[in-house]
Amino acid sequence: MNRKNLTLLVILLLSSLARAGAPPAIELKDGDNRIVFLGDGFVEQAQFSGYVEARLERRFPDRRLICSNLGWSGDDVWGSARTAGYQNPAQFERLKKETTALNPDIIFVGYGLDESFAGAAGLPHFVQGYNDLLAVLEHLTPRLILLSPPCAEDLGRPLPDQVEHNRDVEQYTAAIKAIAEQRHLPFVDLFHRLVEAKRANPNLQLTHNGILLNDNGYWIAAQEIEKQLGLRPDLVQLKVSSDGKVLSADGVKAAPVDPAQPGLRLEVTRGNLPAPAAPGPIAKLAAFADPAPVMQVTGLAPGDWVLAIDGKPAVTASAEQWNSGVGITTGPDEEQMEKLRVLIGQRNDLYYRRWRPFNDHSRHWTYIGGDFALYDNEVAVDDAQIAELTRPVSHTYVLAKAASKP
Amino acid sequence: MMQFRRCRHSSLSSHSFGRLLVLAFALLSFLSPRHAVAQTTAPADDPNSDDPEVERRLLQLPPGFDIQLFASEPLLQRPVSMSFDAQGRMWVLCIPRYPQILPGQDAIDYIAVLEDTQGKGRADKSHIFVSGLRVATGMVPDDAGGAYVGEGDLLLHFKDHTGSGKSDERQIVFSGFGTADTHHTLNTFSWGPDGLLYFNQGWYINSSIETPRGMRRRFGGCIWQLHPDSLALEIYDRSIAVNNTWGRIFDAYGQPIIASAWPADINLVLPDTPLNRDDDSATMVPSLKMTKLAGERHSGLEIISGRHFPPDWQNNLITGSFNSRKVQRFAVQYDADRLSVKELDPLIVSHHNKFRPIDVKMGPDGALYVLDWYNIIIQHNQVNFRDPRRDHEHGRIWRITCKDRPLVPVPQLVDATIPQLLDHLKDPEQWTRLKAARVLAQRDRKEVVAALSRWVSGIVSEQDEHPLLEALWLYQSIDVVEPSLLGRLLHARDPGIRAAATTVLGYWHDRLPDPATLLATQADDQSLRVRLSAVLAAQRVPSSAALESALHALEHPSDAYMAFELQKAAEVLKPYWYPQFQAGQFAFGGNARRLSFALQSIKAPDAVGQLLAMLSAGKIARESQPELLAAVAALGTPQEQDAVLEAVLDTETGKAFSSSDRARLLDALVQSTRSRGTQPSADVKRVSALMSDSDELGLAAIRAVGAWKLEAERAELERISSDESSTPARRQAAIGALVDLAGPATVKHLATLAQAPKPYAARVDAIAGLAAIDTKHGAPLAAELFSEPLPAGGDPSPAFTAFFRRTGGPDLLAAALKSKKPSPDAAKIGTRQLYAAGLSAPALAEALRAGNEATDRQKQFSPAEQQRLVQLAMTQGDPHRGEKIFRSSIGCMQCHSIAGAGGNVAPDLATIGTTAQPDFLVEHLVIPNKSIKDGYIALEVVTNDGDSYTGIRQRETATDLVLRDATHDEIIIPKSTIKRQRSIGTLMPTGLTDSLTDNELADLVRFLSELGKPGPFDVGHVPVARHWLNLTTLPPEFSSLDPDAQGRTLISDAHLTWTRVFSDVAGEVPLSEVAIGSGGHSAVLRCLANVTAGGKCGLLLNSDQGVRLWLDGHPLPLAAIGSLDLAAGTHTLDFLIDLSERKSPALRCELLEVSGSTAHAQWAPVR
Repeated sequence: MNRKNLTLLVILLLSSLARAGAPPAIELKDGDNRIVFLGDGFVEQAQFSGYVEARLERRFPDRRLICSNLGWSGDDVWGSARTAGYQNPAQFERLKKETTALNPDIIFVGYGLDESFAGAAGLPHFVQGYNDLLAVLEHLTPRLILLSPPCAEDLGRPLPDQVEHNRDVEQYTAAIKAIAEQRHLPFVDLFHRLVEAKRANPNLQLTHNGILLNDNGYWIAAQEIEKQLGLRPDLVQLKVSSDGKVLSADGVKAAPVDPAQPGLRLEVTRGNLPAPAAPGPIAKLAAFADPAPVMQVTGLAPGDWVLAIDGKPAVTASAEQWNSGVGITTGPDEEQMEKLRVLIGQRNDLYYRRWRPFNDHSRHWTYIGGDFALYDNEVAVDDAQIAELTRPVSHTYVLAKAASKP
Repeated sequence: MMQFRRCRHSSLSSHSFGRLLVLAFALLSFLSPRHAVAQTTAPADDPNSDDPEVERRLLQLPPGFDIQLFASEPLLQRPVSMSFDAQGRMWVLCIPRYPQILPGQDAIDYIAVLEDTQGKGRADKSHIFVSGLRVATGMVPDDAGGAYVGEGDLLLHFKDHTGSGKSDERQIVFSGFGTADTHHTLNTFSWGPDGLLYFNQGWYINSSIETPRGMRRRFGGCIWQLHPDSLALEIYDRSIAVNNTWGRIFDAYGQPIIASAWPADINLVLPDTPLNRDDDSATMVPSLKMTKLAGERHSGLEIISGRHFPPDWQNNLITGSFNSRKVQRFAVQYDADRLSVKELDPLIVSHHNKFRPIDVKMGPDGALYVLDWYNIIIQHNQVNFRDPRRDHEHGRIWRITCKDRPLVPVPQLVDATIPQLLDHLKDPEQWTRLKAARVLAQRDRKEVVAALSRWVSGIVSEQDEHPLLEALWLYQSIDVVEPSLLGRLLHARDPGIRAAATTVLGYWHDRLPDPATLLATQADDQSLRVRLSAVLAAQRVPSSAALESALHALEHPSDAYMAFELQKAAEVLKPYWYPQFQAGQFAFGGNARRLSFALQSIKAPDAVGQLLAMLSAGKIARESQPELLAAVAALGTPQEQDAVLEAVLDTETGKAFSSSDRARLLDALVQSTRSRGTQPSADVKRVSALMSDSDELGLAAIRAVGAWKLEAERAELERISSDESSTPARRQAAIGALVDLAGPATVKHLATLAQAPKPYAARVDAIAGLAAIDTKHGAPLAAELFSEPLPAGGDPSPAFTAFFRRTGGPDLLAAALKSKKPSPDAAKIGTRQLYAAGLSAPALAEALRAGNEATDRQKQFSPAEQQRLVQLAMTQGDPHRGEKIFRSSIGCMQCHSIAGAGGNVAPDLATIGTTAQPDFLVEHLVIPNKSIKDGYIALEVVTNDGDSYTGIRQRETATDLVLRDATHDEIIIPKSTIKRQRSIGTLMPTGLTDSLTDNELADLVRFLSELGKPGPFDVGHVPVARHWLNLTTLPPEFSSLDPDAQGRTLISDAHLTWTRVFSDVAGEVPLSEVAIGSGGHSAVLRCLANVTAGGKCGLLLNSDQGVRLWLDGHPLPLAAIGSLDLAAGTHTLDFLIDLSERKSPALRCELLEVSGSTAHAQWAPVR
């Protein structure tokens, strides 16, 4: 691929990410961007909830992200899970071949969990293997993003105590971080974030079996990937006066619909879709919440006011509250995000079946070979819909006095 | 071991009426009380009708049994697995999308829950527990309202929190199971008596599972074991590495038994250990082929237990034999502590074409339920996944009850109190005991423990050992260690219970004070079964003491399994004992036998020195010394190998080993030279003195002279090779050694030997030798030989195969044959050998075919042509003529067998007619490479020497690749000598059927399509001899000898040559196919009987006219054969047949069960 012709933007070094105000580590070229997720079961299972991808998709509404998850349960930097026999050079060849075929622009690399079972003794071998893998991947794209493994979770007896194992995972996390620094690649430390989240909320279950993340875990991981890649939380703020005049708008476009009409009627278009809603119990924990878009309305007559978005009541607050700013957490943008996330999950599921079909033993290929074109068509339809859904659309905001309580 | 039993009431069929009654299966059913049909078979019934009542009428059961439809479509579509929950409801997994979902299709596979609320044997209530599954292949209810499901790469747990009957949570327990083949994906889910969940995966499945306790990887078949609470996932068994195992039960002692579809077998399982982290199947997995218990294709396995079935059915095994559309029944027994099964008359024989029994389960009412996949097509890879003949809509479950015996009242377990549940542990029904324990395990643990402890102390009678075992398992299920109960049962009266308790000891070892001492006692038990359990349990215990305990079993009688497991124990526990041994901290308490065994077992080259030190210190018992020296030969350095050489050369009376031991050790040294390039450092020339030895030792010495390049012996080798009084074996060894010495002198000598007037056999051997070292020089000499008419008894095969083994050999031979046309006989033999070698050598095939005007059928093989041939076969084809073609013209039996009779490099065809559709058969015969059965893809391996081998991969160890070629030989190729290898498709030659006319091909197809269907081409289970040896070279004096006086010496003469012949489907050897002596009227046939439990056994011949019989070399009066006293072991039967006297054109010999005898015997294959 002739990269000179591409409008490539710079990936900044990890060291700069930690600093407040650092620009994001992930930027995209114009048009289509192929993003590959490569790794073990942690990466593989991320595809179904869609949190990681949905958060990335919403950041680039004017680009097309085509995500391919090549994660494989039990895989390691040698590609061990990918073909039969486990000690076969063919497995690494398969990893190389399939990644190359996708012509990736960005590769997220998520290994270390399975290797960590070899403990400290296995560390040098792992570092060597990881570097060998990166040397191959660097030929495909310079934009590699290294993910740490997640932490294991102690779910109580008779499930195992994970203290010792997590010590190993921590060592492997440190090793990956050191590799990232040597090779000047961005690194996302999920391990410590998840450890910390668990410590602060001992009752919050992050995995479904002590080792593979559940929806809570993936939701936190997705949020953290966004954050550590320098994609700072949106601070969406809209300040309007009670007569509908837009006083200021950050991260959102707003214009009065019909200035002649009395009251507040605005055409509002968000810059990005909101983050996907947190699942189950996390949703109730303020510490995990993404900052909500805030709408401030000055000069309202005392009493409760209802904001309706596209005719549907979204939030009710007093004039006083509106004056100091009200967070908007439900509405059509949130619904669109949820639709997008579900669609990403469905699309990934299709891709998964196309890429790792049932009955893919060589002697069945005459029977299933014809399926691939059919899958590709279906995936393409979903990809187009995803691109469509990523773009926020405008909505009509109407603020009206709440009916007085009986 | 497979136990054969004659079905007495139908014995007429073989006594006097010959094949007549066998021909007419239906007729036989009417004549024989045992076979009388329960339902009247209306001849008008359509065997393809989708009406369940028609199907029911076409299912034939023994008298006294009823069959009724429990459920069918539309409730069930493509049911694949059924299981009852603790409430007595039947859960059925239905997979209409199997085997492959089409992109864009919805996943609609589902679990239906069926209930028989009226107790009428018919599901009258049903609901869907979960739908939207995608080609799930395994399921078991969790007895708490939910179910575990295997779906592709996922192990799922569906739960029902609200008790609505519908799943409200889907949880991924683990992901990463392989999906390469949906008939191998996770299947056969069941709960063990230990409260653990078991499920299987099959061949080609490549699984990598991330568990909270680490990675679990498995490529190939295995049984998984999951502790659902702790999520401990272990490989319970790897011996099913290459199996499709779709049946598994635990018997009343917790002994796991499996039934497999491929390789077709029922067998016991010797569980693996979590300490075995080695995935090298070749060395760390006991081969289940050590015994072959029952050779039908099985899916589903159940053990009959409970009051509804008659006493003589208790503990019988029931399997679904989906190929032959039977539900089969086997008796289980223990011979010398070893499980064996004996095939009984089938429970169901189907005359309906779609009946496919694939799961069998005892129900809560004590009846037996049979799940019917209901499909014409069962095979996965022979028919397109979307072939319209695949049925996606139907499915049936049948209930089988005994007339005149009451059903068992369905136990109400879910609502029962803890004491009531405990009392159910004494029920005769295994289903009830298992489910009561499962319900108890889910109750409040403290209450259960308290009640269980009281219940156990209330059992004082020694007769009640079995409820105590149930209690022990319940403790294991709830993970409470109970040393006193364990201790009591480790010394139970019943060896089965001692063995079961020993297994539990293995699981509890880390919470018992001194497991090694307990294990040592069990390893010294009087029962082999208990000792074996102890050796298996020791493999779970990571300590040197555990191995020391296990090796107590060395002091007791052993068998193949014990020998394997002892060695495996030493290997698996090596990380725990060997470092301690090396550090001088552990030496098996000075027990030299144990130490020497352990060191030999781990095959560590650095242990050889220690072994030799023990030997020279006189610590090794004499009978163990040859074994030890063989290990030294295989692993030692040249200096260490000197001890072996000295033992070979030692002739001192009273000190020397036997000649055969010395020959074996010498061969071990030669093998080490060939595979590792090592030879003893001492003077090896001394072996030449042994060359004159007339037996095996002399042969080994000749081979060693070659391997060690002892040039000084060349003249002697030349003399032996050209001496006409040398035995063929000596001549061949000498030629082999000359080939090793190589050089122009060898070429010159062999070239002389290869030409007339040297004897034909010597010329063949010389040409084979020449082909190996100077292929170019050998080719014209070979062509010369092949052009000559074949002398009587002459066989040019070795000369052909020697060329096939050389890269470029076939082409050189083809070129030489252009100017020298082969004789018709040589051409036939050469063609056959070429087919057998599986080589694609068109030029040579053409040269051999010179003059053959066969049509090239493959070229004109259009769909219309295929249809025409199918039509022709089904309308005009004659299966009897087809069988003759199968047996003779084109060498089918070279590779294929029918019920084990024939070659074993290609699939056994005993039931091919019930699985393969005629269009598949036609296509496969004409275009063999179109689809190849699992495991029959041939490899071509070229070694560094330029030798080329072709065969099917048998197994692979760390050092060797083992192939099996079309001539049945195993070829062991050291991996270090392999230059390259590649898959070459099937060994079945293209163009094989070119020499057949369309009518002959139609006959052949018709024959194959009848195989396994009820009728004359169903091999059945009558124990008839199918493997024979036939004396090919009867000396001229044979006919003039008095066989009673001379037969014994003659028949045991090692210099005679034998060839294998096989019985036909009906079990007869056609005498027209056997070699006749030069007198023109005598033939000698030999078969082997393997007696596993000694006692009275009988033989039955189709006719004794003209037959004289020897048993183990002693004349056997024909009057006595109905009742023979046979000791355990293998016995040889030799038949001398005078054809001038004999009227019957065939010989058939059957094993009879003698009334009241406890003997068990079976026919053994001959080599």
